[in-house]
Amino acid sequence: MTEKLSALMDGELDEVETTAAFARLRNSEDYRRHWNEYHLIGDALRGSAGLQTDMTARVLEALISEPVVLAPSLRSQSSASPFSRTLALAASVAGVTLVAALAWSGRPGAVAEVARAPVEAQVPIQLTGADLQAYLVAHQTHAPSAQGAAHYIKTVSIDAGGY
Amino acid sequence: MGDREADQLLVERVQRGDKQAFGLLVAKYQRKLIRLIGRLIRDPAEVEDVAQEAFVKAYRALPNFRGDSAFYTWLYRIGVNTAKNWLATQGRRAPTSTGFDSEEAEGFDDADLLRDTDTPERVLMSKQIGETVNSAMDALPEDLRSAIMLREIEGLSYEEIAQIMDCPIGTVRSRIFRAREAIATKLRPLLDTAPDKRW
Repeated sequence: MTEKLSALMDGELDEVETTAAFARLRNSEDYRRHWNEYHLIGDALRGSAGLQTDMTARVLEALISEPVVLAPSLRSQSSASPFSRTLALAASVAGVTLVAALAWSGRPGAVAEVARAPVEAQVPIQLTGADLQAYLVAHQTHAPSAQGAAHYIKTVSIDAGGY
Repeated sequence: MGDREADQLLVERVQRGDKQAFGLLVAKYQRKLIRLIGRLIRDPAEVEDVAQEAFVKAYRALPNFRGDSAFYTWLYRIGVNTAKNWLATQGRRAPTSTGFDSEEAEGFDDADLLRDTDTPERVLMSKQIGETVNSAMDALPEDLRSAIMLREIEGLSYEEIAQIMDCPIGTVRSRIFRAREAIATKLRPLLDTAPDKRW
């Protein structure tokens, strides 16, 4: 199994194997020890300084008080298979079609009923001259002219024979 | 799946709340980060503290990491900024006036830099690890030694190594693994991981 870990370090496993190896690393202290050792060997062969350093435990201890990181996965959004994307599109189209069909099937009856509803005859109110005068006097204050500039216009009468 | 993609998988595990996965990234990059920070800060004790601070900052910033760059490039930027901030609080400036980036840092051959200023015990330990690895390499059969050197030093893929060594990829994988195990077996007594170093 540690042969897979060795290949994992070299980026030579496929995604499924890589995921499985990371899961095992999470659960096995022995596996993590190998991970440390193999990286140390690589660094030593490349002539790195600070070979005595192993600050992993120290860093993880410092992270104990840190809130757990939670972020939406970009990968899960981008790695959706073509099939699942097609399925989602088909579901959307089906949903829109269903709503449209229901609306189409229900509305004609309602329209027809409205169209058939009896229309009450509109009887115009007949005002005589006296009635009209009384109405205008009663509503003079609400006339548009009373609210605007016309309010200030002096009304004059002009004799036919003026000047 | 390449190294960068594997790192991205680890990052996503951390982003889903797996702190242990962050430990794998620390184990992988700690010495590179220390080497980088050691270019800016000469005191080895401070280098490790600043490296730890950089890792913690990286952990906090990880929700914003979207994989536009490789994880180590992003981490190194945080390392450089953390080191510069530390120098600023000490009233000092970074050694270079023209800026400092991870690519520049990677190009430096600074293996002796920390040894010059480290404590004698730490220098001795580092030296012993290096010598043990080298002697274990010398003791390896030629095919195992070539395979791991082509991988670790030349950075070749298994496919490229298989072409050079004229053997199947599976054989390359097996040889590199056996080489690592042989070296690790000689290294373990020296490391003898203390309980407080386990994670």
